[in-house]
Amino acid sequence: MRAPVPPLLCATGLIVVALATFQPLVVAAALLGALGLLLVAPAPRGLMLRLAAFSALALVVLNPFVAVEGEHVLYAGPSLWLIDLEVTSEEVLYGIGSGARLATAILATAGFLRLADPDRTHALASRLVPRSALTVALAARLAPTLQRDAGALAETLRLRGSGPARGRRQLIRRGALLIEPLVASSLDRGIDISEAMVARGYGGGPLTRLPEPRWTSGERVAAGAGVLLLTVGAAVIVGLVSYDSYPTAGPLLSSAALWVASVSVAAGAVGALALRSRS
Amino acid sequence: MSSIELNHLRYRYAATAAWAISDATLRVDPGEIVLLEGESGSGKSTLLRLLAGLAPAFHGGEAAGYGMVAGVELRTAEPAQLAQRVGFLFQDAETQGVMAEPLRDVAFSLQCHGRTAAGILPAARAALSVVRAEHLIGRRLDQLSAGERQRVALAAVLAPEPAVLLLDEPTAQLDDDTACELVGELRRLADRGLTILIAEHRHDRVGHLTDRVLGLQAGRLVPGAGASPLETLASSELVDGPALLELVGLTVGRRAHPVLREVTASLRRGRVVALIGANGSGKSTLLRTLAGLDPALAGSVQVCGQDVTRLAAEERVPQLAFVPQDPGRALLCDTIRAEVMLGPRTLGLSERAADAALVALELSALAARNPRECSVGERERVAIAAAMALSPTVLLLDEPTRGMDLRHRARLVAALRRQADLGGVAVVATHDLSLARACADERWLVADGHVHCDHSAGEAPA
Repeated sequence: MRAPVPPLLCATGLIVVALATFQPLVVAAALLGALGLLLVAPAPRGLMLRLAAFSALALVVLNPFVAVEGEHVLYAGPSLWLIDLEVTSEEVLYGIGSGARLATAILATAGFLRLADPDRTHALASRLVPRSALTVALAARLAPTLQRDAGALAETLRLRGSGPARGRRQLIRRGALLIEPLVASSLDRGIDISEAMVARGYGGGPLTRLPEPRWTSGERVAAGAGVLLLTVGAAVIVGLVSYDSYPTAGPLLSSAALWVASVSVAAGAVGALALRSRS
Repeated sequence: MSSIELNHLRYRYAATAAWAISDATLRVDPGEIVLLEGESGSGKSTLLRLLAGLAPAFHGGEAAGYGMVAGVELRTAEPAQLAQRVGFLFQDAETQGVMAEPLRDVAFSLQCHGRTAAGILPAARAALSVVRAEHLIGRRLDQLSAGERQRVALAAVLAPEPAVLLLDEPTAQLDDDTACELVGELRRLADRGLTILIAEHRHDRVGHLTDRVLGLQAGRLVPGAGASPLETLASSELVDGPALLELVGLTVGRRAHPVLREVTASLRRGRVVALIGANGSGKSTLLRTLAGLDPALAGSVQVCGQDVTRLAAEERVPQLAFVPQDPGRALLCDTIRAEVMLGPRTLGLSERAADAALVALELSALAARNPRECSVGERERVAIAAAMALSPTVLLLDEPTRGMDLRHRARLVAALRRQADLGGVAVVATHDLSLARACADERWLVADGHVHCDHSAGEAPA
């Protein structure tokens, strides 16, 4: 597990770059960097990869049917209430860009959460936002606990003889059976954890700050890469790369876009590799 | 001045008319160890929570009467203020951890107590060494076994050196060696002036070191009855025939880190096996693999002559039923009866076995209650009854006696013997050697990555 600041800088930098422009090359570079960050993080990664892919795909599929933009018509169908059945290449491209940006945000955040030491993240949060430390600690403890509870409930169902759901109706019925105990146990867990924290003296006075270990060389390199990504993102925001999706999509290649994409990919790769090298 | 002084202290949960603790009057002097006995659900955990200031603060309800703990009056004190002087170990160690790594978690207690930064990590290491958990430093708390988590939770409570220690079943998940050392350490701490109140069903482990034994009956404090051993029941005569459970060269654990290698063992009908071994030795992993929840890395599992190695858990049911560790956290239905009937109804089996299980484990009177409102021991019994309701040939139980009083442990022994008498087998992973002595025909010792089978005796090692 790493100090939280270097992966946080890398993840934030990649998200800023992705959100600063719709230029496809730059967004693709940020997406690659975010993917790299998650791939060097400890397993499990499958759930987040699937979530990112599903969310991106949903945007790609939905956008042409909710947007009424673009000049190059690929398919023209009847117009229904709230649904536009005219699909343009610009709408498709915009959907792909939106999906890639969303996927970048999901993958980079997941990479940060898997790479950063949760205890050091909690300590950092306590320093930065002392009044929210309890919320941060509760959230940090609750997420994995609820994940385990959900797994245990699903196991109990299997041990009572329920196999994998066959068909949508069975899946819904199975889900409904698990929702009530999961909600009840999550409420219980919230109380349990806050009770445990108070029983251990939390809230009785200021917390002593533990001395944090020095950053390793890898963490310093990753922090540098993160700062570079943030700088690139800021440069894109102030206009280094401009791109219009509508009414016609801008050019895919420009020297500024190529430059920004190259730096983003390189910084993302260096950051990811530097964070991996410590494990 | 007493460390604990209660005068007609009462407490009842919200929306209930009956007092969970009624008229508790008690004085405990500094350096005294008091053992609190009582049946599952008698109010032991509630009394400890009341003394730690956690009830009614976190559980609602109403308290009345006078209570003073470590010089702090309960009526006026904030829980966090009390926590500066009172250490509290929860029955469920899993809920006690706040941080993700053991050393950090123990250090958290010291941080909350305002210790100087330089002294925190050495003190946290020292507390972990008291409970023989130094080797867990650097691992993730959520990947530890239940016994290992309990050691860390204990260290976190001991580290700030409180004036009063309230322990709710501190040895329930510990192996005998660790429990013995812990109890010795508690005695040493008490000799230095620490006051300790322990709620514990395992009288055999802590009884000899306590100064006084108190009982809780229907919320009232009464003199304790003391220890009585679990009665040993005769072995089944059905010991011939083919093996019902057979493990052949079974390797379990994670691919990168096998826990047990090449386990070969077999079990004929009518046998009850106690699976014993230190915390983290691999007992739970073995049972989970037998149940089909974790994959076998190598070898095979046969039930009634059929190779089930590649079958999923749900396909091994009802021939094989499994109750995992801490099953009370994963109950699905809103009444005990529905929970126990769920398996038979899902599989279209007769409900007679479910009714018999409710009776055998004394749950009939509670059948309409929501299991989430029950005590840990009661929930444990519900999960066992739900497994027995499937009329399995092979019954696997992982630490089934947690939170269970002597009477209900005796009922469990009888139920296990009945499982054997009906021609089935049972494998019980347990640290409770009195349970092993009372019901097991064989003991399988899990140690050093292997399972050593002793088919000769129910007599477990001391």
